[in-house]
Amino acid sequence: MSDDTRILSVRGLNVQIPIPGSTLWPVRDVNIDVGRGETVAVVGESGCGKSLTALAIMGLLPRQAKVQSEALRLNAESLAEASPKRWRQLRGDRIAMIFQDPMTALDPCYRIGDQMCEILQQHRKISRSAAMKRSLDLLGKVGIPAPEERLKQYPHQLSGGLRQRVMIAMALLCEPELIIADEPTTALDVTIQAQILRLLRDIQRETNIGLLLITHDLGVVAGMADRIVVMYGGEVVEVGTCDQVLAQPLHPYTEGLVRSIPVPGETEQGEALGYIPGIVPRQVGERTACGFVDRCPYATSACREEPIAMRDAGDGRLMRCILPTDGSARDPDVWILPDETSAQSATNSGSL
Amino acid sequence: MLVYLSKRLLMTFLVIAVTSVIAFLLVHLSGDPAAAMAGEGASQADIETVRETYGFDRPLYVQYLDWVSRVVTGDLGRSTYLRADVTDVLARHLPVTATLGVCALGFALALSIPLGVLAALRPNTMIDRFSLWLAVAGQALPSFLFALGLMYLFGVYLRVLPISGSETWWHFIMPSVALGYYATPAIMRLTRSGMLDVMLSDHVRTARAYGLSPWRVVVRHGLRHAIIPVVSLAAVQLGFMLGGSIVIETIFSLKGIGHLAWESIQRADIEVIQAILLVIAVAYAVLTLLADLLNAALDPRIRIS
Repeated sequence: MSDDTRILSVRGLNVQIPIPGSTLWPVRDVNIDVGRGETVAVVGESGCGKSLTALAIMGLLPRQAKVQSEALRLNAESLAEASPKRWRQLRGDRIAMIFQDPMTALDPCYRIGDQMCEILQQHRKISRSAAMKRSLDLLGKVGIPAPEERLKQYPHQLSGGLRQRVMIAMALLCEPELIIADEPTTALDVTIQAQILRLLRDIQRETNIGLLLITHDLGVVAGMADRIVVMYGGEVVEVGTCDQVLAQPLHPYTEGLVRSIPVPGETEQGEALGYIPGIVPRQVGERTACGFVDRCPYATSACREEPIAMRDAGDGRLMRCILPTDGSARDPDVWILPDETSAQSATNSGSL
Repeated sequence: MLVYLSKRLLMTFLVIAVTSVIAFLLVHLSGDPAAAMAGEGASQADIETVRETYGFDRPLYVQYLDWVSRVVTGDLGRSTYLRADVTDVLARHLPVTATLGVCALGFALALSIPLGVLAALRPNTMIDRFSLWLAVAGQALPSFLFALGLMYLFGVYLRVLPISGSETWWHFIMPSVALGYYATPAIMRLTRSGMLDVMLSDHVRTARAYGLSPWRVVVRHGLRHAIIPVVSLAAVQLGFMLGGSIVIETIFSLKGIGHLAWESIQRADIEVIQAILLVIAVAYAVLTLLADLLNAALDPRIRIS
């Protein structure tokens, strides 16, 4: 990707949070690029640091979190040195965010129209009636029926799917260049999920906005994302195009994720799905080994000797693993672990 | 909204009805009203005469209904001791107490809400510790001691404020501060904990994520939520203050309801005591109703189901 089409550029992002007696390190050395009109999915399980990465990009982390980066750029502007005032000008205007839970993300005390106007009038010199008009147009655009009535309603009078549509309309108010959607469909019914994803994709294609989609659900990613960034334990472990990563995962963690999704037409009834044993360990201190080693079925002694660096895997792909990139060391059945006791011991080692 | 309003009104009416019964009965439970009215050293025949004259020989519910039917027309009876209509007596004393209560609550809110918000926005900093210290001091210091300290400093030493009476607004400054300071800790701590919660809530994160100014985030999207329990608490505290702070009114020689209640109890002035109990009960009920309505105005989830 050339520099001039890049909207967001994150280099060497680290987040550290002091806790009594220690320091959590939930995001380490993360690199992410989003181009104009591109959808980049950040994928990983709960606790992998993907939401904190998003909040760090928005400058929304709590005061006690220490955020460091080699570069954090929106277009050509460096956000790392931006003043709090500049951050506020950019948020909602150039970067907008859609949150996971639409039931709580809107302020229950204000009408939908008032909340939308408040944002628009914060960023634009515009009359209230003009702001209402634009809010109305956008509510219609995101497929909300009877938008005039919705403007006058309070969030609790709307269903979850409608509220998420309101959030999307809110994100579009100031025609941002980048939208960060943090698990935008996780809290919704499955049928609504598909509608919201289709809406996001259509709007993204129509407006040429860069979309950073954060999700734990690989099913959401397929058909949405141009590129996938897989995160594990606060680190990026694999980067590639959507097709590459889903069809031929390189990192064992990604492979485990892909093996755990049932594929319509391919996965037979009663067939065991793969799963990754254990949980994400707490991220404390410097790495002394591969972050995934305790849960990795391919782990060797070499994986424990030193932290693993990101390396080029050809075809523009990146991976943080020492396994050969051609897939020769892989065994598709390694993820199917019917023995509960082995899963249990893996859980224990994973949490230590 | 109509359903909510009628429910609250019904509740208010029931509370007033029940407390009026209690107010009425308390007087009768505390001894023979005829004997008390006849005075010490009255003969049995005198007491019986009083009993018949004032109708104390009738069944209780008849006396109650009789009392209620007069009260609703504004006739609270006659004080035998003061030889005046109770309504007039109350009309003289109530404004003093109401002024004191409103000023004291105003002072308490003006001090405790900003401090509570600041303490919540900067937890475990100097301002948080200062407000905690202020709260602990307010809770621990007896109000009479604080009032005497104020009197000494501003009335005797600096000579800038009058120390007794209720003639001008200046007279209300020290009593309001002394009484209001007592209400400050609870309001401040409640504001602080409410703000701590709400500032971590999702909708505040949304407000920040959309670049709203800090003032808007804190006041419109934060304080509006955190203030809801504070409204209910403030209503109860104002009710308490309207009940008359006997201590503060006595120290500053304010002829308010608290002072009147204390005097009337000493001289067994039944009609006045009954009227004061009733007024306080009505004040509590009405304030609670107002707090509920104010909360419904603040939070649409209460008024629109």
